[in-house]
Amino acid sequence: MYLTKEEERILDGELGNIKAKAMRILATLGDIFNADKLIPIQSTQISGISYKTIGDAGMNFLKDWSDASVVVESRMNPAGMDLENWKQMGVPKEFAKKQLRIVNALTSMGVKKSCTCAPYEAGLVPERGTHIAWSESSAVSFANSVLGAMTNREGGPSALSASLIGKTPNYGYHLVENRLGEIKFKVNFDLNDLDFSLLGYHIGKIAQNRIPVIEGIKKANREQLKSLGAGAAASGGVGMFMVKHITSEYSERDNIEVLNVHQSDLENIVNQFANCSSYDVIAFGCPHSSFKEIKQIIDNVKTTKEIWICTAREIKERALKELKLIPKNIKILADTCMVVAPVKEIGIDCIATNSTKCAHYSQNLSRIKTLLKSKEDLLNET
Amino acid sequence: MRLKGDMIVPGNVKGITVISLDPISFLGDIDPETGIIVAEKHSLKGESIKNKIFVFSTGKGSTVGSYVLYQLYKNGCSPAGIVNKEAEAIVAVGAIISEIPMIHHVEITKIPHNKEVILNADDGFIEFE
Repeated sequence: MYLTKEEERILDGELGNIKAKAMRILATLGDIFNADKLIPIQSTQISGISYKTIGDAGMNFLKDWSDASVVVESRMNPAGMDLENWKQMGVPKEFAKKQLRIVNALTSMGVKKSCTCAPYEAGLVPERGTHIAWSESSAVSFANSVLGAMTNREGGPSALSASLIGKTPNYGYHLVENRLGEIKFKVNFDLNDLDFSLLGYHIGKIAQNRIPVIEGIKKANREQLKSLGAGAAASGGVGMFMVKHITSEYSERDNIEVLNVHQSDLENIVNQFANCSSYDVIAFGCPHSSFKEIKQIIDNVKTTKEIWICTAREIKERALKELKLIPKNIKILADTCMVVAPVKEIGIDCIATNSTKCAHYSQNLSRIKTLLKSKEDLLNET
Repeated sequence: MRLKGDMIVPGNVKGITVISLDPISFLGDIDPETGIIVAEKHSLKGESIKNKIFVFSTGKGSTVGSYVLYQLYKNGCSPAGIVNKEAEAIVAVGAIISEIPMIHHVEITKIPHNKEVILNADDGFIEFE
């Protein structure tokens, strides 16, 4: 990959050892993925924030890099706890101590302490056609597919490197010619809210890291597309999807494979994640809820079961201010989510959710039991 | 014998080879405290990569693997060098942040196991008798 003279000087250490390593990461990834050059980016979103996922290894790395400063707008993915109300969550003290070290290291680099997997709900909305370097898989999918911004599926260190340099290698989804559907799914039945998450999970498993195009969906709102994208990014490596007549970008390669989706495909996923009958907590907000969704949950809740709604801190603060009557069984948690929080240590054995992404990681990462239901069913259960 | 490759991380080191033809996930496959291969089904289970020239086809698994390589380095248990058939992002990033000399695009099946080699990443080759 071609480096400018200025970039080469950074690689040689002109701006210090850490920026030299950051530049080496970008240059090496550029070489591996056949990028021609580095391109400027508008923002980054950095994953690998929770102590639960990165452990002492990641914590020590971030502490060692904390003297360097970011040069573009940079945000964090969710941490392992609500940074203010972790005691009420039941998070162990030792975990909290290490989690705060991670967040403090990033904050001192200039990364904003807005810990969310959905920065686009919390004021960071990249414009169509702009280049960004985001790493949370559901945010990557939403940014590429719904917002029309351009990002690859970055890892934590590569997104951080992009933050420090302000650039990313030009390959993959940054190139218009690569933003083409590679496998087609036909849907010929109506979808409810949960179905969008199930459909995403189903197509992700098959598409893996190809771009799926979906035909036959009559209408879909922003929340539904968000669920679809998160599901597809969790079961496969889908970084971008297209829905005919709905997403603004819709174009496909010639002679692509076409598959029909059956209702039974979606039922199979519900069954795959149905491994308990009673549950400790209902989890909403995977990906993080918008203000609108929180209001809708509070307006319609009938169950007295404990409910977690995970969201960005900005949205939690707005909800606490504007939504006066929040039932006692509803906990609005900021900065974190049920995927990256130490749920097992908190004492949760089974989680009920409307998100296939939440169910997937609860089972495979947190090793707890799951139940998948629609939001309506969960809110009405007694 | 000298086998050519492309530099990922510069440096020149000498060491004994450990060869894995299977892909490696640093998260889960290697104990970050000791550098010992702990993957259940791996043919090299129980062998250490500490101070060795670790030769394997490619990386796989969680991106946290980059940090595990860094943890090995901090604990003094990282490999002296890495040789891949085809580098991918996780191991490449881990080797860069841990300053472990690394090359790729090498015909690794020609490299003998448990033998002293010279890894010259600057000039992109591995050499052995």
